[in-house]
Amino acid sequence: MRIEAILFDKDGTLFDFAASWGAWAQAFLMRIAGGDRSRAVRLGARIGFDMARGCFSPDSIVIAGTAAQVVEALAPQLPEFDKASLQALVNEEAAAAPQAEAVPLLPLIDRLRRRGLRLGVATNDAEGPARAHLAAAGILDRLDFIAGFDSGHGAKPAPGQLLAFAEHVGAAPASVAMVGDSLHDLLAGRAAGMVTVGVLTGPAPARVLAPHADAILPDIGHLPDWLDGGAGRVAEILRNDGSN
Amino acid sequence: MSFSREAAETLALQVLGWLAANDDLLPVFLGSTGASLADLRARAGEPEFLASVLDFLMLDDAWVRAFCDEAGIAPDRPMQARAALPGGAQVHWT
Repeated sequence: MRIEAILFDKDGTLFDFAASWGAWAQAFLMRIAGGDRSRAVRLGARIGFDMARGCFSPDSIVIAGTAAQVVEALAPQLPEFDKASLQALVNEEAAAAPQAEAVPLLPLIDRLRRRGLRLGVATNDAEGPARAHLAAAGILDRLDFIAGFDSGHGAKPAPGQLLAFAEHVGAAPASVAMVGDSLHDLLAGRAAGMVTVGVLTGPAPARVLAPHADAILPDIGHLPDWLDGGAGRVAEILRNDGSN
Repeated sequence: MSFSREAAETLALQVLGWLAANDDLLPVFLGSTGASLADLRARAGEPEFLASVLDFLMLDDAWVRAFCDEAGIAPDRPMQARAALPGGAQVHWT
């Protein structure tokens, strides 16, 4: 079966995770900590972020969880905020965070569209900030589908967003490639019956992704070459598995 | 120590053998590169294919260490071998 559609994760996939979020998290935590550095360090520890080194642990809920879970983790330490205003603040700050593109996105997206592929984004970020990031990269109007954790399709690793994308573009799940940098992207892809492609522009090393990936690429810039070669091979393997 | 093209190809073939014996990694290598099982034998003499074998190994430092421990060689050897194969001056994936 040919690949007819590609669903991208956002953070760590379209955008380089460490380059985009490390500096942002330091500034955000200092702001909600009222400028108190030791408090910011403690808040960071609750969401798996090392203030001193400016990096996330691989199991940080910022990486694997949703924005709502981040708020739940921070709220007990922040009695001066109610959860709704904390969520609004997280969304507002996240939307304004400058995003480092993993590779130049506009030419890649246009190249994939010229192949006739339908394209979408499924993120555990909220849909609002996701749209802001995609608009800033100039690709919002080139995507067929965008879902956040709050778009009504659930969140990864459950396959709801992925199946909603497949239905929206009228593609069989087996003809869709789910591309992401983290385990929950690949688990969601497998649960949806899609081809899974891991990329290494997020915190997870290849060895963590490999057991759940049909292919691993250094970054999404390798997708056109992979579609020319590897994708056909993956489809053949899946077809053989199905017939045995 | 730098590699001759021939020595680099020999090391890449060792990596290919290691990959082929690894039931977990082999399908991911095939899925990533577009190679078929038949290609492993048929294309084993092609420098471009051998380069893609080293590129795949080097996706994870832990894989490089695992291979080099088993082969009893220094962990920087695959990278040096990669530089002696096509596209090695600036590493490309495919």
